[in-house]
Amino acid sequence: MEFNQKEVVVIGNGIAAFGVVSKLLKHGVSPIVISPALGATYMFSGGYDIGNIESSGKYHPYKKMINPDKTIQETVQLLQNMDSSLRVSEKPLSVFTQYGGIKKTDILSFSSKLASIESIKEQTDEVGVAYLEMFRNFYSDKILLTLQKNEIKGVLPVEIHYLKRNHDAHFQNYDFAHLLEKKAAFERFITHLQKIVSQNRIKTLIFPPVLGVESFEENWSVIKKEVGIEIAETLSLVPSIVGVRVQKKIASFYKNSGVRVLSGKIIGYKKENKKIISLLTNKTEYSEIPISAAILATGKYIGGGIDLDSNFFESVFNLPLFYGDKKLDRGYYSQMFTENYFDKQPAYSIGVKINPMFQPIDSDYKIVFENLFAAGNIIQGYNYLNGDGGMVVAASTGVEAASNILNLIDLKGQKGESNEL
Amino acid sequence: MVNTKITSTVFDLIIIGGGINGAGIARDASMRGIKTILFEKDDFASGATGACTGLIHGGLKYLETDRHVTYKSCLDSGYIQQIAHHMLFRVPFIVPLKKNHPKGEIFLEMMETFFSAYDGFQKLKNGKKHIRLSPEETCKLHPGVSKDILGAVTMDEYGIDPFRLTILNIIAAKENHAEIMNHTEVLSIIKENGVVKGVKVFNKLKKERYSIYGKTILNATGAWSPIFAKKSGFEVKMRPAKGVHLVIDRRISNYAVGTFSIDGRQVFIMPHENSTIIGTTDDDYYGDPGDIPITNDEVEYLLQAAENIIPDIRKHKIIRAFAGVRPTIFGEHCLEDQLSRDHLIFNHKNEGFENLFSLIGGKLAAYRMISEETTDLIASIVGNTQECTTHLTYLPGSEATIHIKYLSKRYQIPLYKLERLYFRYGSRVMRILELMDHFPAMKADVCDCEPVTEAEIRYVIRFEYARTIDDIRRRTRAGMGGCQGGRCSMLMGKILKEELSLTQDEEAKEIAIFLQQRYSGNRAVLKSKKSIQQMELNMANHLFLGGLESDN
Ligand SMILES: Cc1cc2nc3c(=O)[nH]c(=O)nc-3n(C[C@H](O)[C@H](O)[C@H](O)COP(=O)(O)OP(=O)(O)OC[C@H]3O[C@@H](n4cnc5c(N)ncnc54)[C@H](O)[C@@H]3O)c2cc1C
Ligand SMILES: Cc1cc2nc3c(=O)[nH]c(=O)nc-3n(C[C@H](O)[C@H](O)[C@H](O)COP(=O)(O)OP(=O)(O)OC[C@H]3O[C@@H](n4cnc5c(N)ncnc54)[C@H](O)[C@@H]3O)c2cc1C
Repeated sequence: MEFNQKEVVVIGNGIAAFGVVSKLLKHGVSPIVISPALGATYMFSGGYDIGNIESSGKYHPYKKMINPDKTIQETVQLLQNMDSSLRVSEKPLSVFTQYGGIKKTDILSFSSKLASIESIKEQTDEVGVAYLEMFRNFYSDKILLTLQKNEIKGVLPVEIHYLKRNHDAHFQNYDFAHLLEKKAAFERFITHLQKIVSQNRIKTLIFPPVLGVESFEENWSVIKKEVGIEIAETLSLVPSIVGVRVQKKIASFYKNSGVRVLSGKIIGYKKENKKIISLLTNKTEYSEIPISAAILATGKYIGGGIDLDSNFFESVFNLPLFYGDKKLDRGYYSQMFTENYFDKQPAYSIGVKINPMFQPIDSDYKIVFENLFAAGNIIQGYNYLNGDGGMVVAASTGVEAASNILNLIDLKGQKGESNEL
Repeated sequence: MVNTKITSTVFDLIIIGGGINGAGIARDASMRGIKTILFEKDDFASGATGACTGLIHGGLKYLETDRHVTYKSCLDSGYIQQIAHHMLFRVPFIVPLKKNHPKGEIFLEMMETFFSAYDGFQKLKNGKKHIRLSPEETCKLHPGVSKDILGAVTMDEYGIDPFRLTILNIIAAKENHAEIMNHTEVLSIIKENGVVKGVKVFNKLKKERYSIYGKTILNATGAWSPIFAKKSGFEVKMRPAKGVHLVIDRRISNYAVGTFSIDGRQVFIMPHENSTIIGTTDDDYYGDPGDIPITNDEVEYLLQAAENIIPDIRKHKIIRAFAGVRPTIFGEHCLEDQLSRDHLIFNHKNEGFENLFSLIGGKLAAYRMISEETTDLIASIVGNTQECTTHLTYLPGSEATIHIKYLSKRYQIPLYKLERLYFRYGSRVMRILELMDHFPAMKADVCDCEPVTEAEIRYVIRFEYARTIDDIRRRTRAGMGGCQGGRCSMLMGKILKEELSLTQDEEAKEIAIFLQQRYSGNRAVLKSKKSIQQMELNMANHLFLGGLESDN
């Protein structure tokens, strides 16, 4: 593969990378995306967490943004651009999970086809909760109980049989979603639903997030048209079909926008003074990529951005890692997991430290490389598990990093026809 | 359903502790018609028994000092193989010698001589004779072994799941009309004029206190003995030794490998069920046997020893560390004519507790012999003259063999699943199959790491005294695999709730306790990317999505 110019390279293929790419595209710059695999985005459960700007901690990347509200707003638009079904809810939502638990979102949340207490309270028609034969990972009982606790009446358990003939072995998210991709099975499912609806007047059916992989939206519309009900999905367990759907949407967005997506791992780099001049990959077809700027969007442990030997290290540039103000030197590792499983584990909020330009810095606040930026889970100071926000933080840090690149880096020759302004 | 109502009023024998020793004695005594009750404060095999390596070995270590003990151990190992034939597995050992060993070639010769002496006993326990391996042969058998070796010697042993062995003894005892209570702690001993009369107990699940009366009391609380004795006013001296194991996901080889630690001790890396275990450490320990801390130093000690012979060991997914306390004996106050210095029976008569005995020490491998010896003593006191038949009587599930291929077709369950079930439950698997036949949905897997089915989970709750999720784990291995309960915990909670009619809060509490228990063993080995990734997924599952609150 030939690189006839210095490229902007996005290292990683998750939602943070998506933020970077879509912002750059908006300004006429078409970057290269490179990654060996998929990360946390692929496992995401389905509710885009924005987090809470006001209550976000001292080290939260929102605190580094010049105008976080504006960046988030822009990010939301870019995400909707990729997935037109996303809707922003104005109120915080309490969304059901596949376990029958409730996941509260802080300030804003996307609510496309998600089952939440709020959306169900608004319903005047009857709501059904699916009971799926053989599918043990959907906790219908708990959902019913929670609805009752919230004084929502008239909710019906809806038993769905005969989806799977063979009783043995696994029947998990993947199996179910793939089953509904099959025409015959889906038709059987529709017939069954029609029978149920003819017997009672439900308008919404709470369902696990397995209504197909590729044909999810199509299936959703067909059910709405032919059965007359809306399916409201819960948040997903791993393996998550919702995560698969997002990665597929991102991939087709890249394809339609002509973004070059390479499969490969960044394994090294060349530099001149404090500038990276090229990235080295593990692929012979493009072993070296000349760059004008790079964005580290490698995620955390699941993505592969942080690795361990006898201590934590950043896996591509060996950048310094931080927990709060503390630089992680040898010996720190044992303090990164507390005794209590239910604590907020320090290990999941360590990461690279950034300046307001989103460039990785060391403890003396000096920039490590002038043309390196960071986005997403590799940045320290937030942990989606703690409710600090997940997908939207990752995507918006990508957007912010990209706008800094546009401001700071000379991208002469790389800008095509600008569609901005 | 197991009956947990106590029907008798005065027992011949009260056993305190449901480790392998307590369970073995309960089986032996009840088989002889001695009216027996056993109390276990947590679950069977939740102490040293569950934390052991699980080797039914032949007492190799006594070969130098006391050949008679080796003979008896091997003979008994042979008996255990017969009475529990469905669940023993052969563990061929390779003991390589590194080139840099200070004694070099000579040491290899010495090792070979030693193992040759053991060969004579192997036939008693269906073991194979040793062979000497060249470095090339060694690496061919176990490609992970360092190329830097002089050669190796082999040895044959057998392994068993210590949880299942204990449970089977418990079930046998129950079927011979012993009363069995787990999650019931003995608080104190009742006595009159220097003679024991009974015990005061507390059922932790039902939160009930009551008294039980009996003619003799056997303290089989293992490492808890000094604490329990002190509380009750007598004394048991012991030198408790802590032992730590590491668990690696999957079997890295079908051969066990011996290696030497930095201080020259032997450490083994051996396949066990669907995992590989590395162990053990051996250090004095005087803390709480129920809450044993595992340090980074101990983990490193084992990893370094293993790395010495399998250089890539850290690349595997290390999933947990577990620890137990060996109830090593101290000497003094013991009865004469002890079989070996490995275990002792204390008589507390002189301390003002007539008919109270403590059994300390022993080995999993020797449990049957020790139980026989102890039961003989009890029998003589309660005036029972029945012979011991524990070496001739099958353990539950071993009584009959079944036609697996036929059953696989008949019940439409894949062969690999049925084989696994048979290995764990023997012919009792029929009960599980019947459950599946009535409720086909129960064929579904609960665990992704090993094919543990829902029917199996319900079976151990209904027939094997499982009352908590951790109890289910001990009996079925659900939660012991690669994801360490990541995927099955919630489901087990749900099933437990259905079976025991728990409330939603109780269910959440059970799950939370289980997750914390798993985590405390995972935490010590969160040293690789793979293990931290897994932990993140588990936490996402349970905390982010499970709706479990920390106040549980
Ligand atoms: C089970 C689960 C459920 C979740 N649920 C939610 C939810 O409901 N709502 C929410 O908002 N958030 C959720 N999150 C969090 C959210 O998924 C993450 O915050 C987000 O996906 C992080 O995106 P990222 O792009 O920073 O990292 P990732 O998606 O992890 O992407 C990292 C990328 O970098 C690549 N990479 C790594 N190293 C290299 C290298 N050397 N060279 C090239 N490429 C490399 C990886 O292959 C991968 O493509 C969940 C996370 C998990 C694990
Ligand atoms: C690391 C390690 C490795 C080992 N490896 C092997 C091996 O490979 N092969 C082998 O043969 N042996 C091995 N052993 C030795 C073997 O495990 C022990 O000798 C044996 O398990 C001791 O059994 P026990 O019943 O005496 O003790 P335990 O299993 O500890 O049982 C005592 C029980 O008493 C209960 N209890 C305590 N207090 C009370 C109370 N007040 N009321 C009611 N119940 C109470 C406890 O909960 C516990 O379950 C090993 C031991 C260790 C620690």
